[in-house]
Amino acid sequence: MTDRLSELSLTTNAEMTAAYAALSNDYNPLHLDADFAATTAFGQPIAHGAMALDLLLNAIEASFGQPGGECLDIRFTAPVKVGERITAGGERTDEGFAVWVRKDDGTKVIQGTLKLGAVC
Amino acid sequence: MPQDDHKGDLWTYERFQPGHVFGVIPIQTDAGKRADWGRVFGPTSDRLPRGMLVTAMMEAYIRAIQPRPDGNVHASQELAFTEAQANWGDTVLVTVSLVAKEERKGRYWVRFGIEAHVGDAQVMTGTIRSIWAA
Repeated sequence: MTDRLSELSLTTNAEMTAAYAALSNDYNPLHLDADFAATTAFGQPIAHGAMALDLLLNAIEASFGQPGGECLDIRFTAPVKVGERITAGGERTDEGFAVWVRKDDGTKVIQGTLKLGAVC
Repeated sequence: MPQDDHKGDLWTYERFQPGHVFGVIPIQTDAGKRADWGRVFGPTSDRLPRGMLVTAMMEAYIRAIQPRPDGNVHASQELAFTEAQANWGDTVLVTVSLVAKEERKGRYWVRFGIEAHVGDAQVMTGTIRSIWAA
């Protein structure tokens, strides 16, 4: 079995964020409205956190398929501003895999663990 | 049948009761959702991506708990997937419940439970841990 997940990247943009809003029915203006986002601590629209999580799941699926028994435990650790590129991946550890999604500057936006064939 | 005297009221931390089931929300993974998924992540086979189960979970979580305050933070997530497969076109039934709540350092931590089924098969379980805004 592989020691590293197949890495996948995604460059976010406004059209993609609008499509994800429709997909998830999450129309929070923080993701979609630049004027509203400018009034928040983020200063500009941020991508849906679940979009980054989905990218991680795509990387897990690209690496292992859908065997069943996958247990994922993650934290959202930083926002992704719309326009930023993110990459999902992970490395084997003694307990399973350390998984992450990070921006090009190295900032991790998701961190967590993946166990395969486990009872969560 | 018990009457919900709070129907239509904002869901606040105070109202949350561990064990409460907010509802079972049907999410249809129809052609429109498949097209939206493709616009974000690219085309897939007929098998439903795991990520789409998570997206369905998020939609159900948002739809089940309304109205809600602005500014809630999705802090962390646990997910467990079964061997059962789902395909595009399936309806995913997502049960959303309240597992636990805890006020700590002035923040309202809430743990929501998620169970997703396709037909009789459980496809995913999980918990959403949020910092509730009010």
